[in-house]
Amino acid sequence: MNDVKTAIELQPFDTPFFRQDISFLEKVFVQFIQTEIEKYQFTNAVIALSGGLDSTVVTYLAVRALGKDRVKLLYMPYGKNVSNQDHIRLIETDLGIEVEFYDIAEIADLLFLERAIQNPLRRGNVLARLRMVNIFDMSAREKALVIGTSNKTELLIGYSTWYGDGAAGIMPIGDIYKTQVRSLGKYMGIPKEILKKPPSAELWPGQTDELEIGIPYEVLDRILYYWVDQRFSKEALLEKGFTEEVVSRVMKMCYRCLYKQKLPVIPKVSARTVGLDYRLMKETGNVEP
Amino acid sequence: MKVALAQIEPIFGNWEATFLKHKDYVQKAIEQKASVIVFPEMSMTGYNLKDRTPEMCVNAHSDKLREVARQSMQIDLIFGFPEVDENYRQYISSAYCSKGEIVHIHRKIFLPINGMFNDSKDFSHGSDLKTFETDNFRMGLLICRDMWHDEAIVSYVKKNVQCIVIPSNIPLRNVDETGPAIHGFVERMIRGYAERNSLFIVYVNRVGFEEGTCFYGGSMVADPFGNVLVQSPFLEESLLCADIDMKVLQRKLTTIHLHHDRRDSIVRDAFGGDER
Repeated sequence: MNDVKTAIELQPFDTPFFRQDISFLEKVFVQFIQTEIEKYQFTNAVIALSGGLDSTVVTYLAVRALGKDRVKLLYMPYGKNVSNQDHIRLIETDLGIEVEFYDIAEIADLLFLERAIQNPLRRGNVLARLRMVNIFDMSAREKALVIGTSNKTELLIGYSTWYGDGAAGIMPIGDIYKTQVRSLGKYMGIPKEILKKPPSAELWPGQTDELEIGIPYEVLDRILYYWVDQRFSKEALLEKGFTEEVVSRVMKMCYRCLYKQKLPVIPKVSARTVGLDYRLMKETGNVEP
Repeated sequence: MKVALAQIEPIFGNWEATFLKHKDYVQKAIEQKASVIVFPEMSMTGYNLKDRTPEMCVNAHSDKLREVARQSMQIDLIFGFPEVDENYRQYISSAYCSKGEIVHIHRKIFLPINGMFNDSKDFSHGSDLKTFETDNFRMGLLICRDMWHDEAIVSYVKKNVQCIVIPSNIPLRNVDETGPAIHGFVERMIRGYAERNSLFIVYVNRVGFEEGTCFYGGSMVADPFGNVLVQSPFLEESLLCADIDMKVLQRKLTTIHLHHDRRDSIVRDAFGGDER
């Protein structure tokens, strides 16, 4: 328990392997959002804003890319969450932007009752997918692209709901780790209250990511960085001082969730198969056939 | 000789629209009194054509290519395109055009397949390194990954090339304290080649995104002393000019002339063996 607390207070970017020119990263992400919106002829962007770190950082990037009038935000709490609501207000004030509220409690509770859903994981997934239904509907209303808020840590370990929060048109911060997102947020000047609070998927009251995953982000991100990006072997990771138990668990999480990163598997029986060897870039969508 | 570096973003898979952009940059370079303008690798089409490669490829004798070459009446022009030969082999090519005609075509020799790259899935590799003359300079072309390979540089050095032009499509991966980490490597390589081999290097990268792959720009020119004469900005289209001065090359060669002590037997020993 103490370990988790310490990890949140630490500044992982003091370590050399994550030292980066954050202004450059910001510029890449801002330009990426502009490009994607223009390329596919959307007018606006919609973001499901939870008041947490990831969606706040993505909101700030989108506002920088498109201006506040073209960024439509939807906050979808499950019942009252006073602290998050306060954080949403902070964002509204700071950016001079209005956030739409939609409480999903009524519709979720109906589903929980009628389908007898009690398991917290099932409930959490239902909430994530209800939010997905709403944000995609809003994207149709606003002629907008849904901007996803997943980061590299959660994509790699599968800490997201399949076709829930993992569903989006683009994911601007999908290639940076959670600790890097925090650093980016700090650089971009997001409200301190949001920077400091323990990350939580809010699947149930009092839940935090680090308690549920059981590994502080600072440790998790380092293992992922060395293993995935730098291609260290398991032995090399152990030599770095990570424990066997933690390293194995991280690797297992990464392997178990690969299905979430891909299109559903299709048995190949034709010459060119969607997702396999029917290779066309998304940009082809702009070309007159 | 004034060289213009056209660091552009091609409009993916849209030859006509991208040709208009080329014309626009050619005009600007003429206004700046450049003698030659260099566009990036695959500048007419974009890079990751994948299954659209066959329909985007053009033959060296096609009207489409001649139309582009005609832009070289007032300024020499180097541009990139996917080429198809008479045997339906496809290449990543760059053409050097002068006085309205195609003078030379270089086909990319080293086709990367590591990581995000898959060049050799759609393209065959070129095999020749031929030189051409522009404004009294002996020039050679390399395309992107070609420059990683010492033997390509050595081959041009043996041919007494004075300026190597390298149209590229180098994407971003890894961000460090300086921004794009790969750029440090590219810069060290280019400056090192230029200084060690006493020649100019003109490197032109592109900008823009293709399905999230970010081409970061940072085009540059290095002189025979290893100095960077100009560097284009990261992440922005730009047209920059650099003066390439034969007197600088002459001064360098007066200071140190490695050609005198070069030993071809050692070059043969290093590069004369079988391919792996």
